[in-house]
Amino acid sequence: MKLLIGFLFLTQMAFAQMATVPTEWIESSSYSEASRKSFGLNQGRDEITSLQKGYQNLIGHKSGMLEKLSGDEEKKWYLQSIKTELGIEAKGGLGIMGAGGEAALELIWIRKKNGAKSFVSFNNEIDDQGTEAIQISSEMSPEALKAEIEPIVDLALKTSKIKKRAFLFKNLFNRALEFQKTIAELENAPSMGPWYAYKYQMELGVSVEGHITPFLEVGNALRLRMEWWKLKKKEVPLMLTQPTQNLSPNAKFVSAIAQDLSFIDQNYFQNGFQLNCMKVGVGTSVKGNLVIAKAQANAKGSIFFLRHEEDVLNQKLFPLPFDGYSLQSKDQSTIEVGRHQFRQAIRKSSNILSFFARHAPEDEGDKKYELNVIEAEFELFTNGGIGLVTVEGNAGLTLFATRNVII
Amino acid sequence: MKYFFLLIPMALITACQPNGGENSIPVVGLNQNGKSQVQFVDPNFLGQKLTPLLTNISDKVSSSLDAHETLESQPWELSRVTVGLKLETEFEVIEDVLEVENEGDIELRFQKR
Repeated sequence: MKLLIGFLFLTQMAFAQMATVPTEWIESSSYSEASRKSFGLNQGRDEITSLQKGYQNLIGHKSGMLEKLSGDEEKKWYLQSIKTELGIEAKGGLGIMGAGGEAALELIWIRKKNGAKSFVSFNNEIDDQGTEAIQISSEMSPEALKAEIEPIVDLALKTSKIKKRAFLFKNLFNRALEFQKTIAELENAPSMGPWYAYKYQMELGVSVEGHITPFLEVGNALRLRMEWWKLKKKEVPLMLTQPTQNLSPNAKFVSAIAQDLSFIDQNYFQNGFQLNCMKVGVGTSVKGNLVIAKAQANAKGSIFFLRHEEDVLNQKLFPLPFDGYSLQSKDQSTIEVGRHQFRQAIRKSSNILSFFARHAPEDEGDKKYELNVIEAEFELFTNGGIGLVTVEGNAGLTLFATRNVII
Repeated sequence: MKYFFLLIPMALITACQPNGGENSIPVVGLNQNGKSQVQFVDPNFLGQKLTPLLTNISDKVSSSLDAHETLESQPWELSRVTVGLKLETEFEVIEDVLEVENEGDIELRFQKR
């Protein structure tokens, strides 16, 4: 199958301004500064209005393009969803993502079923489907772990890229045991509000010899993923009193992030979007405890947080003994970010995504494709600040706004 | 198996101008020096050029998958396929640019009914 298609066209039109995000959105300015300048309505209004118009123009073009796609109802296979990207250049200009660089917004459009909302799996849409996943739970016995790993190893050998079965099996099993130890701690994390850690993923690169690295490196013959799921929010009681036993550092880590996510100003929007999921890249400290990775590209794993429907915001919780987070760079050096600063970063990033969620189109009944997921990528700066990632940057934290999907 | 490699040679050649027209669409990306750049494409690009291209690719992929009846007898059922496409924005004409990636600028996900 080979297509050779070329396009050549020139435009000669009058000049126009490119929609630009406020400078504070892409720099490590504080939440209060960004809030004063762009989240409020009194200042920066023209800039925000222009951005809204430009953003909706881009969305409109994409939507129009999808509506023109033909769909053969007779076929067994059909185009179920399309992911497209918007990027931000260094000065803040917003546009369709072209060649190279980090996208600031990913938009997932899902085909409706006979005009009705499709309610497909959110995780199917955002996960890289090309990576084989090993599902691990804290209750699995060593035998059950081996049974889970076995078919993946067999599959790896069938690719003819991996030669040493026993070596790969042993390495994967040891990694799985380490992973299992961490997820046992995550499952014991107390509930601190409506958010909770529901998924932990660790990407693994496998060399031809069967060596395993926590990062995907050039020369890897195969990539795999270890995954833990909390399928539903367990009956973990809110931490209303002092815990009877000491919490592990990793349990405190995820409980603290979950609690700090409660500081998001707005979760629901009139057009049906909800700001209800966050992904953070994690690394490990010298002591082996989870820390926040500055860039997801260099993270050893990712933890996903989900907002539960239940509103427990008004409960008076016992203070979680957790001062702040370590932010780890690619060279393994770390800086400390206090909880107050992290909460301000969460508020700033959620307000930025709120803009794009709020101004996304309402569901139009007659459309074939509906915009169901808006994924915003943020850069974590070394001073603890946060901003929308530009094409030249490195994303470290992802916030999701979703509607009409199953999580 | 959850996905399937498909190789679809595609050349997306856009001749753009650095200054946008009133209705032109900005495209951002990195240049060869790793610095961000902005180019503008004609709004008709999406409607008249990219849509037929995506329709063509979509039709061919779904037809190819429909034709793979032998997969039905395998213990692993193929139920979902992702095709990633990279959007090239170059000033010069490039022929036969092939960019099909697992994670592309545009991802098409095919599902079995």
